[in-house]
Amino acid sequence: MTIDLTQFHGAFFDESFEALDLMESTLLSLTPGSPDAESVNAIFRVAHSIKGGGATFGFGEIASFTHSLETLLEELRSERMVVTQPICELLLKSVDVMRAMLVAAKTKQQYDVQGVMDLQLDIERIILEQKAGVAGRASMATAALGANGAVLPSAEWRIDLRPGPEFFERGADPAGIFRELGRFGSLVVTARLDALPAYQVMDPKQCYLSWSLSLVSCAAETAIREVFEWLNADCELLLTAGPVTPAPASSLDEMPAPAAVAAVADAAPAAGAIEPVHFVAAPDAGSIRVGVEKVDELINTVGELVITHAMLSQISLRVTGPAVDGLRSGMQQLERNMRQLQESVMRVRMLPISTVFSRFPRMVRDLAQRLDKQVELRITGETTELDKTVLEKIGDPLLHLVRNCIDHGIEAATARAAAGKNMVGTINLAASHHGGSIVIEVSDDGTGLDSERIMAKARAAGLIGPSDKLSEGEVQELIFSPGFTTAEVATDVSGRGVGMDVVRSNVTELGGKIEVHSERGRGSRFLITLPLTLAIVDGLSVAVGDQIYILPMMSTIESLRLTPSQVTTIADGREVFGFRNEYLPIVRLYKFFGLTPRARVLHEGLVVVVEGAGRRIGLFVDDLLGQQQVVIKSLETHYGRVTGISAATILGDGSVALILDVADLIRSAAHREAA
Amino acid sequence: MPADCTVRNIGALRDRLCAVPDNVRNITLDLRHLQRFDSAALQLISAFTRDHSARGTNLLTCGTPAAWDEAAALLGLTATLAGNV
Repeated sequence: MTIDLTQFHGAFFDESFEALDLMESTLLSLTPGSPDAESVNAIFRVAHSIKGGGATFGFGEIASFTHSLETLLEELRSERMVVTQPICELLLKSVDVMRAMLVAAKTKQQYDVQGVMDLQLDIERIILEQKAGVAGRASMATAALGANGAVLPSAEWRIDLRPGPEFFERGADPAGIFRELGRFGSLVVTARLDALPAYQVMDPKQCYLSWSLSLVSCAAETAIREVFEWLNADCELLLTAGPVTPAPASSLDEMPAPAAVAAVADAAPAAGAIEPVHFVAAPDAGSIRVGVEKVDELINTVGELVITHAMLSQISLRVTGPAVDGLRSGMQQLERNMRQLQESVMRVRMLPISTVFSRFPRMVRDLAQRLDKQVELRITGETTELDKTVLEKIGDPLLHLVRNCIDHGIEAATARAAAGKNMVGTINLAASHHGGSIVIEVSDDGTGLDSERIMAKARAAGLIGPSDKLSEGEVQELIFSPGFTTAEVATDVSGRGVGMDVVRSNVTELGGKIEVHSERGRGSRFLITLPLTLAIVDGLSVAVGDQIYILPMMSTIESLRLTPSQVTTIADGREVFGFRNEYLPIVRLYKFFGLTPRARVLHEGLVVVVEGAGRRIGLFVDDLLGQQQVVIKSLETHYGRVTGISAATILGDGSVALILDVADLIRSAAHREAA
Repeated sequence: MPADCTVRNIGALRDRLCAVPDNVRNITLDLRHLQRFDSAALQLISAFTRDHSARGTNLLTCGTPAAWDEAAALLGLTATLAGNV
């Protein structure tokens, strides 16, 4: 019976990517010179598991590469090699290479074969160089001990072996001879290849090699000669003994005691205990892997259930008779259970934000090195959970913000020192819950935003007029304008003018908002507020004519009834009103959607102050109906994109209400007015 | 490389190596299937890596058995086999 292993490929890739994330974060926490043994073990286990899985599932190149990597890691974990900074760099590059190979295998695409080969070569070289170094030190250490009059050797034997041409054909085994010699003391073997012809013209059965051996040992000459006793007459053997050459005094301190073992012992294969490979049918007892589509189906069904429950609740209010108390009590119990079920199902889609944050330590480290800056990244709140879709979409905006912090925010070490700051700049990445939202903070203690420069650039770009006067907050808001950049030179890091406006637009698309607070010389702080999930939204239902709209609570600031004296009509007929020291335009929702309202006079209806796309407006509606959680139903999937509308929902009475896209509405209203 | 690379059939290995073009930039010696070898094989591969390294070829070994590394170290051929001529 054969088993189709391709069915396990998905699990192999998923677990390998997770394992590489772990390997990367562990590597970043390693201290060169004195690494934590368990960390090295953990890294080794990752390479070992990927190697095993790669071999099992037919990904030979992955198995081959990870074999070399595993060899290096075995040297490190057995402390035959020391974890140095270059080795850490090599291991981090290996993580990148393994990721690329796994992605290529998963997507059946080609990868950079040359890059992999080069890195594999580097890994194997570093192992061999280290081994050669250890062998040299071993010989010197033994000699030094003898020179100090300690227990050891009495002589350094020089052995010259020139085998005859038929040496190999007669079944001679020089490696066996040298292994035997190594047991007498410290042996250094030097092969001479001067008689070895080009491989194309050589007789491969003939022996062309000869050897010079140096053996530091207290063994008797007869014992050494006995090892060569069976050699034929056509072999030349020269054996001379001399005093042990003292090692240079300066090098004594560098010789660790364990290095006094025979150099050949270093070549013995390592026998490390290795954990078994687990890729197939080995789920963690506390978790299972479930496809996202199954979870989404469940969430959708629960959403339908919530709507059905709301409809039943409304009907139950109209029911009369002896059973009505029992019915209403049952409906209340059902509501509690529904809410619990809904929250539980929503939690299934929640993932810790660490899945996004985990990519930043490496990025910060690499970028700081490239820009020659010293940066410390502090992460807090990484266990805060967020909807999977939100998480997937927030990664890039965060990446952009952190990159900007390093490139534009944090100063060079010398500049920081001159400003009396710690030479190491700090970037904080924090996540926390605030009510029904998640707040992500990206802050730095760098140079802060330069308002004068921002104003000058904004004027030059025509974003503001030459005589416009802006508050500090408004100036800082300018960085979110499309195409705005203060960078003099566009680099591959930032400064291409595609930046903060895209960040804001991505955040807004997620139903969130972004604010900036900055102080010159002290640093900048970006606050991103996001909804916990995209499946439900806390909304304010408003009435316009016979329609009901849902305003996301996150975009809503305040509602108020305006008196005529509060409203000013400006020259072009636009209405504005004063709100917290600023004038906000009024957008009449009935006009925007072409409806017949119940209230046309401002003081007969209500104005809801909303915020989106970095601006605030007053939305004029007939009435506020209440606050409620609504299940989001995509409009685009079944109908199409509608300006100012993000989605739809079904209300308790079965009617459909549209959820307003405040940012889009503000942009469109501004556009229409300008037109 | 084949499973058996001993002096008895070393000629076949030499012929396979001779089929490698001189001007190739990267060579990977795949030792994953190697089961038996002796000093003659190490000598031949040493000549091969030495000659190609001298031409600037990138040499890579994969699937190296521990016994191969051990034998190379014992014979003082580690550096040569790594292309450090």
